[in-house]
Parts: sequence; C-alpha cells; structure tokens
Amino acid sequence: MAQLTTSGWAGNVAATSRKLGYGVLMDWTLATASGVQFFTIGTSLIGGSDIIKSGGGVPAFFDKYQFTDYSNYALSWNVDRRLGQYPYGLFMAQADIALDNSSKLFLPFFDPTIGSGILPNRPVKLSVGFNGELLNQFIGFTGKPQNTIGAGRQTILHAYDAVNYLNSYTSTASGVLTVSGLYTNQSASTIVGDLLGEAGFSSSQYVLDISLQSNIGYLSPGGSQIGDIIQALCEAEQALFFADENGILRFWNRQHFTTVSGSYATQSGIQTTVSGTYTTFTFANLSELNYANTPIFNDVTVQAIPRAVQPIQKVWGLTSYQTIQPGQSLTIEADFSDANGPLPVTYVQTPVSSSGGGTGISVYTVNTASDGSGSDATSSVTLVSTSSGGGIGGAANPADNYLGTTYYVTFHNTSGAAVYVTAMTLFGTPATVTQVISQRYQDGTSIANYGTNPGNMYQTIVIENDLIQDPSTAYALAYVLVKNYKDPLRRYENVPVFANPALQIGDFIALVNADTGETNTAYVTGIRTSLGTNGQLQQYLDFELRSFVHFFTIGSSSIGGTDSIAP
Amino acid sequence: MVTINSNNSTPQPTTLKEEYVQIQTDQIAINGAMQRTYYGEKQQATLQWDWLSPTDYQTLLGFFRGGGTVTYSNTSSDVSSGVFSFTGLPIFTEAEYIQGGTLYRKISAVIRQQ
Repeated sequence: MAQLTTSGWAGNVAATSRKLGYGVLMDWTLATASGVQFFTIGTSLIGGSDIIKSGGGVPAFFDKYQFTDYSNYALSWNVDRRLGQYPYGLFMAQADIALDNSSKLFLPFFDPTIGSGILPNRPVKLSVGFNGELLNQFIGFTGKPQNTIGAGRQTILHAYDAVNYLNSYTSTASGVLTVSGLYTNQSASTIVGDLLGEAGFSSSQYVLDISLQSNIGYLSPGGSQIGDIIQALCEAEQALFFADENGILRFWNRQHFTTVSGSYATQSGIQTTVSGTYTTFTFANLSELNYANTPIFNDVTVQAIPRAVQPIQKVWGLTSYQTIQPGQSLTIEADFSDANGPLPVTYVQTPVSSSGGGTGISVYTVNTASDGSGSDATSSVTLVSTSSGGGIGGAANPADNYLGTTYYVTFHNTSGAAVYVTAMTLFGTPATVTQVISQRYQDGTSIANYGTNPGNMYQTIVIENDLIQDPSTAYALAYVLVKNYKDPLRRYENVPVFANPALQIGDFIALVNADTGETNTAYVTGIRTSLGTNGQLQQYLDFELRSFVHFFTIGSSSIGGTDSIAP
Repeated sequence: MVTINSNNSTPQPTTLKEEYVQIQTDQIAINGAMQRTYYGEKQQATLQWDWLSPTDYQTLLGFFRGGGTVTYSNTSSDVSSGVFSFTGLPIFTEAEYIQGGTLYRKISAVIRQQ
C-alpha cells in the first residue's frame, strides 16, 4: 500500500532532480525519551498512558527511546527486506550500517556519554527521502558493533527488526487470553495479538487482519519461541507476518496480499480501504530487467490433525498393582495416549481415596493384598505430590492444573507393612484430535504441460500443520497455492529502479515493457535500499507478476458483481 | 588574494581552480532517461605552486601537514560574491628534487570543504 506521504511525494519521486535527505538515529544508552513513563504499580492508572515495560532485557517499544542523530557519521547503510519462496510466513528485515569512527566516538568506553553503551541490542532508525520529507526504511536493534582500527576507523553494525526479537522470545504461556497456559478456541489473529502482548508490545504497535479459518481448538505456547508459533499460525492461514519500516508489526491474511483496492477487515474491526493507486515502472525509470520463472506447483496436499479440549472424562487407568514398601515412597507414572499417539491433557483431577466413594472422579485404591482381597489400607498411605511431564517443562505443580502427556503421583507408605495400589483412575480434560484432515488439489492442465511439481523435484508437495482446523481451510490453502503457481509466472529480481522510499512489500505495481508491448501487474516481494557516499541512493526491487483481485467485501461489493469470492 | 589559515604570507598559487563540487548521483534508465539524486555541494579549491622557495615550501607544508583542517580564502575569486572561502581538508603532493636541478619546488593541493 506504500507508506503514507504528503501530496507532493509523487512529484518528488518522479522529478528529474530531487534533493536527498537521510537520517541515522540511534540510542546507544537505551535512554528513555522525555515524557515517557513506565507503568508503576500503585501509581499508574490502569489503561493510562504509562507504558508497560516488557519482561525481557530489551524493551519492545521503539518510540520510547531517546534517539540521537548520527547522520553526520554515516558512511553508508543498506536495508534488505524480502519474502521467502512463498508469499506467506514470517519474514524479517536486516540492515547494515557503517559509521565513521575517526573521532573514536563509537569506541567502547571512550566517550564519557555513550562509551559504556557501545554494546549490542541498541535501537536504530534509518530514513531517507526527498525535499525535506523523510520516510523510515528500517527500525530495529543492532548486533555487536565491529570497530576497525587504523587510518580508516569505522564502526560496522548489523541490525535486525522486531521480528528477530520475537524469534528469540520464549513464551511462558502467560498471555492474558491463556487459560491454564493454553489457548483454546481462539482465532489465529487473536493468538498472535496475545503473544505480542506477552512479548511486551501494546495494541498500538501492531495491526492484525482477521483470521480466515475457524478458531484454533488447542494451542500450547509455553516453551516455544513466539516467532516459531507465529510462523506456524501464518502457515495455517497462508498469512504474512512482518515488521514494517516504522516498526509496526503486521499480520496480513491471505486476502490482503492480492487485494489492490477495496476494504479488508482488521482484528480491531477497522475497515481499511486501499486506494487502488499503484506505481508504474517503465523503461524510463528502471535500469535493468532480469527475470526468472517462479517454481511451478500444481499438486499440493494439505494435512492436519487439529486438537480441541474435551469435557472432563476418564483419561487413564492403572493396569496392574503397584507395591509400596513400608516407610517408602512410590511414584506412579501415568502416560496419556490415544490412537493418535501421546495425548496432551490440560487438566488432571487430583485422585482421592476410593474409600470415600464417588464416581466420575479421580480415585485410587490401596489394599493390604496385591489382589485386593485384603483390607483397605488407605490410611497407611499419604498422597505426597502430583506433577506433570512431557508438557511445558514438567515442573512440579501441586495445583490441579497440568499440561502434558504424562502425570506423576507419589504416595508414601507410613505403615510398617507393604501395601498395594490396586486401582487408580484419573479424570481430566484431554485435547483430543478432532479429525484427520487431508485435502489435495491438482491442476491437470499444468501437470500435462509441465509435469507434476517441477518446482519441487517432481514430488507432491505435502503441507502438514496441525493448526489448520477444518477441511475447507486445508482445501483453500492447497487451491490457492496451485492457482498462484500452476503456471510459470515471471518473477523479476534485483531490478534497479529510480528509488521510491515509500514502496513497501506487497505493493502492487504496473510494469510497462517497451520491448514486448506488454503492461503487466505485479506485487513487490523484495526491496533493497542502500545509501552510500556522495548521496548515492540505490533501490533494487523483486516483484512477481500477478493479476489484481478484488475480493467480495460485505457491505461494499455488489451481489452478482465482478468481485471474487475469497478462497 | 589567496590565504590559508588567514596567513597573509601565503604564497600565491601558480594555477588555481575553485569549484562547487555537486554531491549527487545520476541514474540512467533503460531508455536513457536520467534521474538525479542531489544532496548538496561542497566547495573545493585546487592549487598548484610551481616555483616555491625553500621558505615558502616549508610554509605550505606547515599548513598541510598534520591531517587537520585548513581555512582557505580567496578575496579575488570569480564567484559572484567575490570571496570564495571555506574550511576543509587538504590533500597535497610534493614534486621530486632532481640532483643538480633547481631548489625551487612544486606543490599541488586540493582543499575540499569538510
């Protein structure tokens, strides 16, 4: 959709001569900008303006930093952001920056003000523009600074955007919407928002399209990197997740990418209308045109075994007696499983003695004889502890909330004779497989023309993702992938263009090829922008030819009109 | 009159070129169209002294050695204001001495605005 600009921007981009401006801002000391306050218990107002500080070592809000302008020290920088092979999943932008260190300003512990802050994980902003209007090209955190010493002192920085932060952030399943550490019956976009909240991002720091499939019945995030979880969620919907040039995290559903105009709904309920305007490239504003063909995929199978948490029920029973020697403890291990293998159980009721009566509850029976013919020996044992394993870490937890596929019960025999646990039944809430999904879509014409999946070594493509909830979604994913890649679409790579810093991934462009007389539509899949000495601004684009699609939008499109029903 | 570091004893150059170096990059499109990205300009003076006495030679070396900036000024410049002055970094080269030849030396220098 391109970054928001003033009305004069288009003219500046197209002008024969445009005056360059740029910025390199950093906060070496992680100082907080004046006026920004962190939330303090007992002082700050709930829902007020004070910012919740993230639990990690690196705060998640870029705007709260006190940036200093180091543009005069900039020797060069470049920003690289591009999609992977498919237009879905999670991608991250990277930047390289070279600073003049002749003054030793960026030497660790040299400068009295910033010397102690010459360390990794420093926020950086890069911007460039024309005639006084600058646009951000990158916001992120730096890696370890590299200093060259000698006649040409430089400080070299490599930086990653906020997605890298998420890739290394381990979820503790502490999101607001988790129940007993789980997401149950929540949409993918809702889960993404809650995970971002756990990582310290406020709702103003991200924009989420609505999910296009049923709510996800069961997802246990604990112990996993948030980036990995979001990657899986994106794959389940063919959605895209990234940080834009201004550090805003975005979750785009699979309709967003191919809609050039009309409205698309976001998680917050805001309908955003794309203007329908796009950049046109001709032989007058690009320097080369090298193209390659996209890989052909014409046979895709999507498989999933989604789970959902069931009502409380019997989940395990003891199959043979267990002996507890006098004065000793015994731990009984209950492995939960069903026909689909290990069975996660989200809650296990702590067993009580069966001598107290009761049905439909977790109980155990202790007898003086191994065959149960002796007398009740419940009073001879105490239930010492219960814990879970095979879940999010197996930490001992005396409460009745367990996550995992294994449950441990420890008894202690307080008598002077051996006793026997002759029966134990456990009740809990299992997350069982709701259905086994396998949907395949093939395009016969493409297969006849090119063979099966020449882009995948002539092998059927199988996508497995248990976060796919229903067969219709699985079919849609297979269908869309084949539809978009059954023919060898032209993909243009590393096209040097007259730079337009407002361009973004996913922007639609028109390409007028004077050699062939064709006018094609395409979307931007990669942008590399660099700034070097003597104002050398260069921009290289990757783009893939596609047709514009106007998806049917309730309240906007006409029944029987030309807008397509989204897959 | 050309002065360096406001020194009125600055030897006057034999040749002098004063210019505004344009900081810009031009890109050529497939059809030959050109677009310029312009940042600004820097003042630059290119000077050559052909016959420097040992004293004047040492005076100029004194200005240029050390790697620091120098202040350049020409009050008889052809620019519209008549004065071309700036502070910048010098890049200088010295000519060789040939045995038996003249003791008068040559120095060339480019001073570019910082």
